[in-house]
Amino acid sequence: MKFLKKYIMGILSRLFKIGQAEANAIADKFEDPIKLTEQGIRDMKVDLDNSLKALAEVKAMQIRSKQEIKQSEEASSNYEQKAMSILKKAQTSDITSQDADRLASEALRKKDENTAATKRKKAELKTFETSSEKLDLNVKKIRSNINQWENELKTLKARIKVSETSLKLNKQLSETDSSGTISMLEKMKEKVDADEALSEAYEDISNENQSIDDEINNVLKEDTSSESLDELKKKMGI
Amino acid sequence: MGIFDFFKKKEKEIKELDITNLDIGCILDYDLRSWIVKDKTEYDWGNNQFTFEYTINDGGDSVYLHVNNGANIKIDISSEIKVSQLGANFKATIVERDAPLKEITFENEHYILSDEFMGHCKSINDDEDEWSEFVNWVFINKDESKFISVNRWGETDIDAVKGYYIKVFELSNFLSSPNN
Repeated sequence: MKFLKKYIMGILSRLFKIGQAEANAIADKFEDPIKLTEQGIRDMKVDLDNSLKALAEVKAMQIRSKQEIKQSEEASSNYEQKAMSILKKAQTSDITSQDADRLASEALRKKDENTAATKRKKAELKTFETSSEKLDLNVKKIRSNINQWENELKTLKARIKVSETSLKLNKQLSETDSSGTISMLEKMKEKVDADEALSEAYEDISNENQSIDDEINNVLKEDTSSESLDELKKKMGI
Repeated sequence: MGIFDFFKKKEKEIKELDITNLDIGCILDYDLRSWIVKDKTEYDWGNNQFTFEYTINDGGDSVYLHVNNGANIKIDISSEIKVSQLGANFKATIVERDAPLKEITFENEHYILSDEFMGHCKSINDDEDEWSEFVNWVFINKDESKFISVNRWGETDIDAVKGYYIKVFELSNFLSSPNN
């Protein structure tokens, strides 16, 4: 029972592998390198767009942060100046020293608030600057990749064009070899050979069919020519 | 267009920004600092001559980035100065004679009057008919690397900027407004 179970599982596993292999083969068949590369470039452009937006946001926050630092620094300085002015007024008896102390303390508290805000904003600015540098590097990397793959795509398109042309040419050549002109010429040559062989065969048969009279005539014919030759020799004195 | 093209997601084109096509809110890098475009002003100098100027801010400083997009692009950076810094009688001379002095000294540097223009300008946020007329005088220093530009908007309404010329490559990393 255990063996049977193991056996069935083995078959199922193999069937699954076959299915997987077939699915991959079909997927491979549909893969177009040009289209896939173009899609990859499009995806990278979307990434670039998002990175540029993020970089612009961080840089805008960086600029705003600097502005806020400047404002809080100015406010801090102003409150300190105000506190000093109030204390001077108390010295010239324009206001009571109690009021002067209260108002000056309040101004100093505001000054401290702004100093703390400046410190906080400076820390934020540093974070923005670090993020901005990282995003900037990322943007440069994506731009470089897009540039590289756009060039690769051009090369790929050219290679595929050459490959398609070669394939077409080779196909034409291979088709011509099997059933085209060369094949026809070979057949014609064979036909001529066959005709010649047939002709020779007929000649042999014809020779075999000669009658005894024909043979005699032929010999005599040869003799006639011999006589003519003798006469000529005689005439020439040879 | 094929039937399946209808379902195709349109490829988003990333607008390539340069110094000639920035809008308010765009960001650029100059002098190792990031600057945001706060305003854009168009200038009409007559005879079909146009230039434009961005007001840019880095969070601390605010300067003008003037672009003359002619056959050869010319860019300058300027910042406001007080007219009184050009001499005690500088403004009075313009008001009295409708013309400035031929030579001035600013921050221990000598400048001579180089050009006089009549122009109109408006911010891109203004209405189409809100052009302001002004007269412009440009003073340049000896090696022509720096200038003082003086604008007269009315009888006594006069302002001035100090500036210098820069190259296109000094500006970089143009980014669209994050609010778009």
